[in-house]
Amino acid sequence: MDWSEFFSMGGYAFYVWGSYLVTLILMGGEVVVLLRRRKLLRHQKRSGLETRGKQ
Amino acid sequence: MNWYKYASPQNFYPFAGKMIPWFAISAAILFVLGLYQGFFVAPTDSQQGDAYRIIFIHVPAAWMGMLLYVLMAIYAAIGWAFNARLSSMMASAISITGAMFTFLSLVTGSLWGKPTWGTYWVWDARLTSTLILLFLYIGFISLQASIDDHRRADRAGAVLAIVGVINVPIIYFSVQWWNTLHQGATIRLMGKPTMAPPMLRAMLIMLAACWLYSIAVVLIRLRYIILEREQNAARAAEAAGSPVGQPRWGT
Repeated sequence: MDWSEFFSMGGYAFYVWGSYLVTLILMGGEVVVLLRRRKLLRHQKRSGLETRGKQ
Repeated sequence: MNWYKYASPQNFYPFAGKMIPWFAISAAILFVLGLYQGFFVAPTDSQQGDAYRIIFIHVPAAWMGMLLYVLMAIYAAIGWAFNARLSSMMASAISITGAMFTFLSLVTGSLWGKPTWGTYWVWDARLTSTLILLFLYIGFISLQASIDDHRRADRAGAVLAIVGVINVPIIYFSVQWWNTLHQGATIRLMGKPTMAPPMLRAMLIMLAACWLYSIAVVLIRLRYIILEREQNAARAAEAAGSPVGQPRWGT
């Protein structure tokens, strides 16, 4: 298999790979945002418990 | 199995937690399979060359944008009509992913339009109605974000979501009702699809992958929403002086 031919996508490389790059950025970005939200929530929960313990 | 049990956020939370890894793993496997089928098995198109390979993400993204909107409206309506909290939370959880897919379908469509139509954008019925779909999602999300009281936010969102549903059949039938640049449906409810089997297979695998991906991320987001609302309620109760502790269920 000729890889340079594969990557050139018959001259449509920008459009085809551009589409899949945008897909990767959007879906990957959604997952990253969700995982960071989990960390943030855990942190809040912990600090919430601490304040409650002091009372 | 008693399904009513899972209608309450407290019971749904751990159940969803157990399901998420399965949806995420099967989505990942199907994405790999679908891309392999789309790039290495499906042949080059006789008319469009390799530019057509954008279809494997463009069409699933467009379908997900529309289907998730309908699902969001149904959940929002159930939540509003029966005062079902979990259902309203589900609508909020779906909205972000639906907006993401709609945006993705617009971007990939525009990247496909340039080499095939000679332009990134035209104010054609299909494209315009899809842009309206994106605005409906953005409207739903910002409306909910602007109202502090969850119940009021859910109700306002439900009205917008339900009214906006009318746009989905308009998008679907736009290529038949108006003379548009966008091609007609490749897959119809009745009749044979007008697509070569290896290409069709790649697209359907990608569609299944997008579905599983959506279920996984929506469930993750739903769990956060449940947790955040429970924490807010606990904080509010604490401020009011009633002895309410942490949520009773763990992560």
